[in-house]
Amino acid sequence: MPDPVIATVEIPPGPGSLSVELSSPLTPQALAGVLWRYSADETPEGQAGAFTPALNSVPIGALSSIRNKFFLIEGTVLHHNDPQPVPYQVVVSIVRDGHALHTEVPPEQGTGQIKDQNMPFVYRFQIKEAV
Amino acid sequence: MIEDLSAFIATVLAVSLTTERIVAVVKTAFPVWMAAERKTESAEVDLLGDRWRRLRVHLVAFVVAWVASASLANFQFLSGSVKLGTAGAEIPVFFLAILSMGGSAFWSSVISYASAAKDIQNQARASGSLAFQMQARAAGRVPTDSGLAAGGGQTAPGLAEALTKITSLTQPPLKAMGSRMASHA
Repeated sequence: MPDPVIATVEIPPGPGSLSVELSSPLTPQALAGVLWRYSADETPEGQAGAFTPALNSVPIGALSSIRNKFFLIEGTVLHHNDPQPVPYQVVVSIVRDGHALHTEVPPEQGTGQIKDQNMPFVYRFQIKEAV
Repeated sequence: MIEDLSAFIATVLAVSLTTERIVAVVKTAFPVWMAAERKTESAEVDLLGDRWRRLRVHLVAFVVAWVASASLANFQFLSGSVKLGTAGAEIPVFFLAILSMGGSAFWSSVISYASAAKDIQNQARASGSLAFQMQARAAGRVPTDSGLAAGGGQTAPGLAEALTKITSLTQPPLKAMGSRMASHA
């Protein structure tokens, strides 16, 4: 089985706290999930935060403190008991000072259709300092 | 020492605020040249394409900061020094300008850290809410207020199930396949 995709997010050096934001800008679904953090050698470091429909942003700290660390989002698109499948699209953004420095649709089930079951998605990424 | 430090911070703050305000006016006056960020197709900041605009902003900020700093030293742009407090400490005009030209970037960072502190508080509140929900379920009770607080009062049918899963998950290996947030998981 091939290794799962791990996105490399290159962040230009600079001050300010980074945040991970989950959104569904093109479709109306609400999202929830957990953000896990790992060291550069993939050792688990615990939960960085949780996403709920009321809280779509998790602060992950300044670039200097999370350089080369890995993150994993285990998320889900919440269903609304739709009678027919409707499309959804999840967008993950890495944000600093209100600016999106990286935006991506998770390759693992970041888009699809949802009916009456929550739809899970996974997004793995590593923060690197841009040179 | 403390007096020098206070005077130093106050001076940098004053010049920085002046720079920030004047740069904001220049950006408003020339939005296309100074304010409009170039973005990529995915709405990210185009660091390469936007570099000339950033350089223009830096240049304007430095000129303004230099003039503002020199005004504290009888407009001696090159050889002047700004006196800090009454203890005799001084800082050259040029270095004061360099320190203060951060302007908007400096204040953006301050706002960013304040915003992050607020987000951390919100995260703590949501975590408490989720923990309460887990405890209530373990005790055989139906959580109401706390669960709704974590969910933002929304009534998506899948929300309760998702919150239950979130509270029960433990950290998986980074490369574990699949998601445990699926309805059937």
